[in-house]
Amino acid sequence: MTGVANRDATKGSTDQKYDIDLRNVNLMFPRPDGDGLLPVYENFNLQVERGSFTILLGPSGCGKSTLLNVIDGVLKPSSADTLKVLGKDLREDPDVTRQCAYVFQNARLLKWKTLRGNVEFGLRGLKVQPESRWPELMDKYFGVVGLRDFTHYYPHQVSGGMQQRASIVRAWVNEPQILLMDEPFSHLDEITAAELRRELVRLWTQDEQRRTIVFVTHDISEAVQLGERIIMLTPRPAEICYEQLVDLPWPRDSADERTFEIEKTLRKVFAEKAGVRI
Amino acid sequence: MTGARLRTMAPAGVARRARLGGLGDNRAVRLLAGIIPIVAFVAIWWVITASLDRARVYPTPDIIWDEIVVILGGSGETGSTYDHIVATLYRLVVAFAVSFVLGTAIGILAGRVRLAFSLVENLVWVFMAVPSVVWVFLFAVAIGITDIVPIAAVSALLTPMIIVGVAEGAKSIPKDVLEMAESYKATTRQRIKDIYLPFLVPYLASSARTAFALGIKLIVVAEVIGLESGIGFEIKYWYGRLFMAPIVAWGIVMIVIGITVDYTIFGPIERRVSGWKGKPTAEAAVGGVG
Repeated sequence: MTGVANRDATKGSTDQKYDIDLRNVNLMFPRPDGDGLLPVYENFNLQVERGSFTILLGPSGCGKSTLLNVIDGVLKPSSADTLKVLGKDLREDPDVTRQCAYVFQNARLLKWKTLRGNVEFGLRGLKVQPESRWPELMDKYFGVVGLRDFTHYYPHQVSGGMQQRASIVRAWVNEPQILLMDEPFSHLDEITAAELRRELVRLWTQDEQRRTIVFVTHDISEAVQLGERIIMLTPRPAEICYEQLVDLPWPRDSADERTFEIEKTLRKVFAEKAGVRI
Repeated sequence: MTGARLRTMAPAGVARRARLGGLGDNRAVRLLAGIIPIVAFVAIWWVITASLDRARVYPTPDIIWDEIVVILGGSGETGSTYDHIVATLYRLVVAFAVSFVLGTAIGILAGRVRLAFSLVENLVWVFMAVPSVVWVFLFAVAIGITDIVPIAAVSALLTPMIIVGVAEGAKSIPKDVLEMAESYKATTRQRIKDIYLPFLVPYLASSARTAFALGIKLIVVAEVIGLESGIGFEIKYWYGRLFMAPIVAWGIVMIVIGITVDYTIFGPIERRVSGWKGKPTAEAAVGGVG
């Protein structure tokens, strides 16, 4: 009996091509003035392949973060034909989102806990790693982002960049299959942000079986620096208006001719399709 | 002309302000500023009571000092003075615990759940509007003269106060932190232990200080009205004999107890809380707190 269930579970997590599969998703929010509903997504489709680095690029307020919340299971869409994460329907199997870890725009650390305490909070919540592995995992990922000597500091005692690093550790330490990143570097100064982008790529590429990253941004050059696949969204109701594959090795150089070309194209399309000029 | 005058006057004004401000910066000067009024008060008291020359009703400070020594000595006319102090403190601690547990639980609910807030809102204001002495008589009539009267009266006084403070705090927990907890599938236990309670500690600490000050006063009133032990009983006893000195001495003992508790319990709690509030403490810097 258990054997069958197990085989089913492995089948679900290895055979499917898409880690995220959303079809005909509809989502409405009540209008802020209380006057009816505001459609955020209408018949929206998105497939994300296992191990890919997907960028969701779109103007502010088009519902990019909302989409991450749908994938994370914390926000229920009004209706959907398919709503699958790691091959499982979120409505039947909400626990599958324990395999998703979130990095927010601001670090969202608990200020009364040390960096280590904050990372433990995530481990204890998602419960995907056995407690016996916690010390080893924390040691590893705090080390990768260069925070090993700061694990006993409180958030207010370290810089904004270090806080965001700690929040990346809080996500990564669970070794989740899917990482949801919501403009994680937009609050940082450009030098720190560039450093963290390099670290993110290093962290992601060091695993043989890469994790799936869905990364939200409104910054075109950041999108080109990081993504394999860039999906451009229009303002509400959000639709995919353009897709661009970026087949360049990391680390990418913003001064590189090829990245520059892609950026230029994206800027043009962004202005045409999303109606925003940057 | 005027311009030149202003220019030359400005530095003088600044210097004067700096001098006056600087006076308050000196620790010794500040300490002295706190002590002078007390010394002046005792001196005036001494002069007046000495001139009245009726020590039983208008005791001079040295007589009161003698009474304090008697209290500290332990054996008074009505049994061990320490037993009376302990009786009062015991009632206070129990009432304090009851109101904190109840107040925190109801307060968190009221702060987070709209319906719970509507349910308790009016009741809390009604409870807070009841004069504290009324609680004592109410419970004394209802349940007779027992230890429960002061405990129930103080709990009835403090619980609504704590509910209001905690609900206010629970309402202001940042939404993004709660979203983080939801995304990381934090359990209810984790949310209470790692988010709600730590967030509420400053609110609890500040209401604890006020609650203690209010609570000890009402306990004493309840004891005066109808108990056979406690500081309030002592005060009633000496009032019955029209002896002023022990009454004042017991009052001073209460003040000292209050200040001591404030310094040794509430002070350190607040300092500990400020470890993560932005003021780095030595403890936090070496990572000893967690």
